[in-house]
Amino acid sequence: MALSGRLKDGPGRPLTTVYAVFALAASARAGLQLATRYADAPVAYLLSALAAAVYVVATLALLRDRPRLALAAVLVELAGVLVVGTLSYADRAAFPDQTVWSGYGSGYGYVPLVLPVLGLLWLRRAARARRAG
Amino acid sequence: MTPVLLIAVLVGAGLLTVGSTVAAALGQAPPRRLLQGMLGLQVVLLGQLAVVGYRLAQGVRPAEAGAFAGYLVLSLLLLPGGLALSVDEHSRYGTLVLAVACLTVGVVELRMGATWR
Repeated sequence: MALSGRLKDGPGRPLTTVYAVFALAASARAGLQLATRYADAPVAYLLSALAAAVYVVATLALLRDRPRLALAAVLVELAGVLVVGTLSYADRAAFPDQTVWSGYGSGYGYVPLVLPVLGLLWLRRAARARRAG
Repeated sequence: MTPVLLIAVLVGAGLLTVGSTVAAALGQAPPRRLLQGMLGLQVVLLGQLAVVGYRLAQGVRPAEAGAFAGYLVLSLLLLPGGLALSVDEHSRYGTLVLAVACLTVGVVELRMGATWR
């Protein structure tokens, strides 16, 4: 089947679904943490909020077919999971509670680590389909 | 939350995840039987909501009330959301969207069980 090049079509549809699930879950988690326990682990909870925002932007960019915005969001996501994942092992005192990206997403079956890689692969494939079409 | 409903949701979500993954691997658009199964699972989830409401009215409280409430709301949104996202994708990828939704229902149900105790 030929790809249309639209970001939410074909393989982009299940990818968008996973992003939407993470956007919902991360937003709810960050909202709860910031509202009830912010003083316990401010760095971790602010990073949770950042992760939630990135997932929301990535979801909307995929749904509305905005390749540059999607690329920016996925790159920020990849950088976030790598930096926060490394820091959560190197400086445990700064992360007394988990974020989505702690331990490279180990609390979520490492999906947060795999997702931006799949996202980048899909964005490249969709860009090629747009150029060919 | 009751163990019977917890197991019913986990078994239902597991069977639907496997079924939709197999259908997607075979290149099928969402089969009618899968959609009927999802409707049945949504009915069980609504039944679970009613049971939770009854237990709360009896004075029972979840161990982590905020997290439990979030998971409860999420569990009710996943299947309708998955259907909405897959409705105009008449290919194996539409079926894969439903597999993601069903798998997530199972994961969320496990978390609900953990935060209720």
